[in-house]
Amino acid sequence: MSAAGDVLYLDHAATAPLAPGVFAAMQRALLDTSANPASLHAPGRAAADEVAAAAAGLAGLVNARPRDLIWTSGATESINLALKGAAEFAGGDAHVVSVVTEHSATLDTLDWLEKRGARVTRLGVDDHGRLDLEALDRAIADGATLVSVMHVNNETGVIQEIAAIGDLCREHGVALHVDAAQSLGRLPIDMDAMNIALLSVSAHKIGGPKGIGALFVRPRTGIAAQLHGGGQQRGLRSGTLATHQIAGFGAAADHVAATRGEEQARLGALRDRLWGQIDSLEGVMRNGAPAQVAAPFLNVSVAGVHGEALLIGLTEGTPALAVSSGAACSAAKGQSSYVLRAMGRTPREAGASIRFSLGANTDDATIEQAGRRFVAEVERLRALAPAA
Amino acid sequence: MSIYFDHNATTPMHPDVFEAMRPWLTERHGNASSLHRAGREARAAVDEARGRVADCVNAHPSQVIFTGGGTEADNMALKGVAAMRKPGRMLISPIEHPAITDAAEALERDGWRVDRLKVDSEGRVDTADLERELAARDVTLVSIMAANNETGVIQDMAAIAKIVSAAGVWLHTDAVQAIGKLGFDFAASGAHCASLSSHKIQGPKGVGALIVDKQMDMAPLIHGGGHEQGLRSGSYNVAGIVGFGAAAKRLMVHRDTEIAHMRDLRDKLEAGLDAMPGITRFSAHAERLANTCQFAVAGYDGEGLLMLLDREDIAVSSGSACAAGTGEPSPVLLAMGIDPAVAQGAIRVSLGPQNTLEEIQQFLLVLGRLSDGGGVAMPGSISASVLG
Repeated sequence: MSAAGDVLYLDHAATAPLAPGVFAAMQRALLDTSANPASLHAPGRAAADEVAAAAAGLAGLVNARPRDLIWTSGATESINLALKGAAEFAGGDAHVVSVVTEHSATLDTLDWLEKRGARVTRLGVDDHGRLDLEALDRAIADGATLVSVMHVNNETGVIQEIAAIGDLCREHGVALHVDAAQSLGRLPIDMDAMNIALLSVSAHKIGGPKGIGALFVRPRTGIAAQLHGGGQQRGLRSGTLATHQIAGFGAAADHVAATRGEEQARLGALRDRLWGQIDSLEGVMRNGAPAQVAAPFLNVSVAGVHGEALLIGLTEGTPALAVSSGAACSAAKGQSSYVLRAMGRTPREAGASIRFSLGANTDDATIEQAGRRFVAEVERLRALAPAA
Repeated sequence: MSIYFDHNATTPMHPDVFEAMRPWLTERHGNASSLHRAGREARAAVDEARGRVADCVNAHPSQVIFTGGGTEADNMALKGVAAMRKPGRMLISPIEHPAITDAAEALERDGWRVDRLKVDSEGRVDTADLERELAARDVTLVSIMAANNETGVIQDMAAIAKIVSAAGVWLHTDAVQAIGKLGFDFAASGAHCASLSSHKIQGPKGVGALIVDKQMDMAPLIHGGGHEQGLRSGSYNVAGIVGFGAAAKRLMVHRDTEIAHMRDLRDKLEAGLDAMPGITRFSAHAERLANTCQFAVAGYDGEGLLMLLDREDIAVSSGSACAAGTGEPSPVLLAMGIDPAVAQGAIRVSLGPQNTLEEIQQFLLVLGRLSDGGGVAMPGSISASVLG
């Protein structure tokens, strides 16, 4: 049974509960090592030690050096820093190549850069949500200064071929930024082997606290700081470091490093079971090619029901199913999924879509109940308004 | 027992604040932008905290834009205003926190002209100079901190606001140090935006706010998702924001008592210092925060003295924690016209509500021993490392 009482929580892509060991690490930093890690005195140095230990753990997870890590307030800030920082560094020549299905942190930042004179190329995706590498190759050849691609899509779980994209970027000598908010802890990431110059990650998607993220910057990657001040973090991101948040991120990184392989296999099997239950319905379509979707994700479009009615029916009924239709941030604005529309779904299909995202507290019973509940709700709505 | 006298760098978290955060780190983990119940609960908690922060500074909840800290709030005020218009002119004081001075330098690189106002030898802004500088009618924004982090000097914000407002110019104030140790009334201040930080008032690190009068047209610093009325994107740091709210709420109840306690201890400390030879106190004749005392001991380098005190388990600062380790004399003191050789010796004691008279006495005892003979006689083995 999921946390939060009678709620079946299947929204781990929006945010996940804290992983084992995380709360204890945060409590220690909040109550014991509470000094400013930039302070020179002993309490300050104790806080700095917490930060260094967390950096080592997190860097190990993506095969980077701890000194390449810049702490931020979250993946959104990391992505802003990567894109704006690289564009500012490139100056008047800036040309960013990205994809239409990126998270809004990327898309909104690209819009901003474009308004301020940068060139932006937004590539489309195929019906499975995948980027065409030949199209990417052509766009890079057209004077790209940065390529920005998300590893795992936050709505569909579709995995982009980062290693191949990294190879392409190496051939052209262009820097690659990867939004790994949804892939960290779920898929192997190797900044070195994948030729990733900039990597944005978030703690709260892997069982760490909300409000902390990081940007990894490999040596010889040019970015300009976006937050100026006390000169913390080599001047690339000023502001007092939130020791407890960092300690929590470090503990979460340690936890996923120890459990990732087994856990992702477990979630993949549960996800397939869930699809097996849902697939018994007519007119349900799975978004993304199953072999190219990260283990915890299942995104389905449902024919013959009104999307909002379905979401409300699921989230407000009993037992309540905490699922989402698209990203939490677009949900708040009431828009149908631009990601699914980019994959060739009609607005109606995109509107009537549900994302299940599984995580640590998802067990057999959760999946069993969630599947039954989903099937019953679709049948109920279809009976109310047949063949809409 | 270790003595912590560095509360302007950061404050230990209050246990009540930790308890307020606890449920939002453990069983209640929703994303505040999610539409389902777990998300709505988190949103309600964020909005309750928003109300508490607003109450604490007499602002409207809709004026509170949560950020990743005070540095981000300061950056946002200057750059957010700048991004909406062609490069023009801003005025700042020469004793601002690096978050303002470094953000101003970034704007200068973008073509803005940022002039530094004059301050007197106590660090108070010269209001006649402010009037003169505004006379050209080409200024967009004035930024002056309500109370200084190093000297504790308090500006006459009422007089400043009157002058700035008469010139029809926006006024930003960094109220990070003021709210906990003086109080800050946004509505009465005449400022159009103000920066706050949670960890200076016994709340968690990694969260702050910019209080913004909606007449101001301002661009966001961090894009993506459109949170906080489009002014600050990124998943909500729910626990951090709840902690900030709890700290603000308890501050309103306890601030007057805490200020009286800290002032009493600080006055006793200064009486002790004044009885010692070779002590120069800074901003001694100005109105200052009740908890702050910055001084130099003749013959000592500030950072060296800091390390000597550290060996005695006493944590003080030699200026702002952000600039720690640079070995440079404080720009704040230099702007006040203090001789660089004297400024080099500055250390800052900043008290907190938990400090005791015994700690003051212990500190004076240790300092007296270290500076025995007016700072001339140094412990032989370490004198070389501590002399500036």
